[in-house]
Amino acid sequence: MVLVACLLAYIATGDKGIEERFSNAVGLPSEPDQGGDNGIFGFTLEGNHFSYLIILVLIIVATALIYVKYRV
Amino acid sequence: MAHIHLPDGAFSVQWIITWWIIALVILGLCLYWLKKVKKIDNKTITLAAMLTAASFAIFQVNIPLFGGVHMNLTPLIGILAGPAIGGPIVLIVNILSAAIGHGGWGMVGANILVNMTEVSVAYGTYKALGKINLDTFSRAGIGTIAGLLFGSVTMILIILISGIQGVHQDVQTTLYGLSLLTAVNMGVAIVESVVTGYVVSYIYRVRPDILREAIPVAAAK
Repeated sequence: MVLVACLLAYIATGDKGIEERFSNAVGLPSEPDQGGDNGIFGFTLEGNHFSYLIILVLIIVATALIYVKYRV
Repeated sequence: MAHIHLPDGAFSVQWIITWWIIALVILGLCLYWLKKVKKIDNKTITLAAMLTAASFAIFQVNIPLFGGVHMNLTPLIGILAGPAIGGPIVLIVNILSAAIGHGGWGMVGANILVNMTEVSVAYGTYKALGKINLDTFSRAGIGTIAGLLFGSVTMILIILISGIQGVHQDVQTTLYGLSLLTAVNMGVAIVESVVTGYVVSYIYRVRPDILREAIPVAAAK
């Protein structure tokens, strides 16, 4: 039932990204599709990719240090 | 999963401050609870670090489903860590997300409220369903769907209450648009509920102590 409602809503709103769908819902003008980045199998990253990688590495290192320290 | 994808400037300053104050009060209650009521232990700190890393990593990935959607694992955070430690986790994930340009800084307070709703409802539903002897996968899956549904309702309420600056669309049209958006998101909630269900039932089998369920009540499927 949930999936049917989802598909109907998807058809009603059209094929668009989450930001565009959000902007349309609240009445803001849609930003044009920047295109170009199709990612890997359609999976793309939000925000600045370089900053994402740096923060992700730092957070994984911090998690590993905590894991080693507490040995849970 | 529910996240207010609006740029800075969409909400007026009064509402940005209001949502931030409410979020900080809730975070204060979480920290008070962790300090005075339920003492935080080493295992919880380690679990919180892992959940923060996982949530941040997956939240930035745009999944090519229904035009593009996100998961942020907030129900998993609620079920595994509980709402008290979930508060600091969603704060960190939202701040780091804003830092890399995913979501506006002004939306962080409102998004913390949305995510805390998901964390709390998922946790409460998971615990409540434990009383009727349901298997772990189903409890986690239903908890996830409930958490994400209530998170979307919170998101809609915050937007309707705040209003959008420079937009003269009536409330009914905005409510209709956000309801359609929520319906699309709920399709992804099904996917997230399966993922959460599998992760929680796996942890239940190998490390039931993490779920604070020392004596198994129902066999994990």
